[in-house]
Amino acid sequence: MSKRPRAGVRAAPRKTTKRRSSTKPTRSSRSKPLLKIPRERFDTWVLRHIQVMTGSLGRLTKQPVASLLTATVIGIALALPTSMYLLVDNARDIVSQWQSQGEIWLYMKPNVSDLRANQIAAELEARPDVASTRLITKEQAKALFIEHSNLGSAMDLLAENPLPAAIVLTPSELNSAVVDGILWHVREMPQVDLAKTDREWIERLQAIIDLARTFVWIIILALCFGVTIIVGNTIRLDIENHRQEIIVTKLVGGTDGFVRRPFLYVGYWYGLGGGVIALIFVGLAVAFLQQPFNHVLGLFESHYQLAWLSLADCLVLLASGTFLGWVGSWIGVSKHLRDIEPT
Amino acid sequence: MIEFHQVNKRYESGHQALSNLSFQMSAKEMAFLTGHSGAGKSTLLKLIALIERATTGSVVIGGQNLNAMGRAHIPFLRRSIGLIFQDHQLLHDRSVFDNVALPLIIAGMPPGKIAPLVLAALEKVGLEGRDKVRPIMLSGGEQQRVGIARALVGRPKVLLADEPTGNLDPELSREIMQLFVDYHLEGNTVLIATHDLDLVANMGKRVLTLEGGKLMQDIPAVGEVTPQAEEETAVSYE
Repeated sequence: MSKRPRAGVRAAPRKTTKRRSSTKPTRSSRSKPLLKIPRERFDTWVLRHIQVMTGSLGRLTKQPVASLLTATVIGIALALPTSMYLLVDNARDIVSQWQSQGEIWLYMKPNVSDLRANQIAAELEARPDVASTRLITKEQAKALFIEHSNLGSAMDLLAENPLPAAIVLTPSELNSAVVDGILWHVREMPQVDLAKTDREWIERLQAIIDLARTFVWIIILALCFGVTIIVGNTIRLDIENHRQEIIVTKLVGGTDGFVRRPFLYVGYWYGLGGGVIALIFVGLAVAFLQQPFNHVLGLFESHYQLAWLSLADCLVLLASGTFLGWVGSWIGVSKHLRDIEPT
Repeated sequence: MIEFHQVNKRYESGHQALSNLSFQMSAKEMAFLTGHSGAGKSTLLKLIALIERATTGSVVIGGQNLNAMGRAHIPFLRRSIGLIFQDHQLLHDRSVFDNVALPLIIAGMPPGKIAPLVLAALEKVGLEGRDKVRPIMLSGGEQQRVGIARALVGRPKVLLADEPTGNLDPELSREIMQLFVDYHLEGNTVLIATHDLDLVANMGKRVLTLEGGKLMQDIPAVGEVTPQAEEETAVSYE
């Protein structure tokens, strides 16, 4: 019914443009009222959204304990995978730092003299894929052995120094192709008894960490699902409590979108609140863990500092909390709103 | 404006609420719908606002066949219809003002335009100055008038009322009926379901009588209300 006058308004200028063969003034006089109406409607729309947004927050603060409990449950569900992620991320950082110290140790055969070993070291250093070499003579090896093991006194019982000379080699680059190339070359050398790198166990550790990361992602997905269900269920109860409001709104011509809006904002606030609470939990956990963590790392002679979530991580956490709250309420609302119709 | 063509309505429970019902109301017509409770009055009104759908037959409102109307279009149909309920259907956690403003807010009207319309509607139903109170603080009759103000505020072309004077004393009932007559005289279609036959008889408007879901009687408007008297009421409203 209301469409008719609008069609009339549209039809009128069309006639004039035909007669005047579309001159500029006609166009602008035609576009002015057309632009003005959507602008006003848009402003009203934005205003109503802000009102519903603040109104839904007000509705939540009317039952502070219940709202806070829901947000806390969401917060815990978000904090759990976040702290696991943080832990795995830190572990990865630590391991990658260790790898950057990656060296190749070449143990010479016992019959290779220090002098010969020195020559070999010089030859190797000339290679483009080798950054530097360091020779550990037989005597230095003996000294190191005595210093670092309790078996130092046993050394005195031996007539001859049984330890070979060794070359510590630093690759120019730390990718596995370069390291593999060097290893392949030195293992072919007749003077080299054994070539060792700390890469193997770093790789194993890395594999474990990668596994843990995958595991964390599964947990993240599971808990995201959980958050959606928590919000969806809370919204379902919220919808039941506002049954009369929904019916009246539908009776006076409220669209599904209009009815849905306050519930979506409630979900939005739950999610955002949950995100903030999760941040607080993770922050507290990191603060408590900092001391013991550094102590453990200190034992490994590492000066690594436990990293907090980056600003981007924090924003991602808040955004995903908000998004999940919104999605959860969307699912809850879509599922239950259709059931509530005026009769 | 309102057309019923061989409408049948059978509820899921098996209850046949309307049988082969046909009638038409032109725009700007006012009519009463009477009959015993259970005669199908409420069902008929619900079909017009698409609260229920006809089982067979067709309901046409303002040239639109409601059978063909999808779920998404129902809100826009309801915006063109003012609905008044016996149980008021007010929101008790909001002020009278917010209750009456609801249809305008839903329609996306800028706030600056809403306030004068709401206050004017409240004045028309005699509730000036009560806009800030909660409906629960008002008497039954006052709550009914809040519901009427809400139905009128958007100036719908069609006004439907289901037992609007159900629990009211005769004097208040007459006042409320006068509101409907006034709205009708402003050029709108008004259909009122009531079992208050005395009141209906005094109004001299068209009367549709339902019995067991069938249209038993269709008495056209009689000349009891002279054009002069209509003019007087229009003036008194102004």
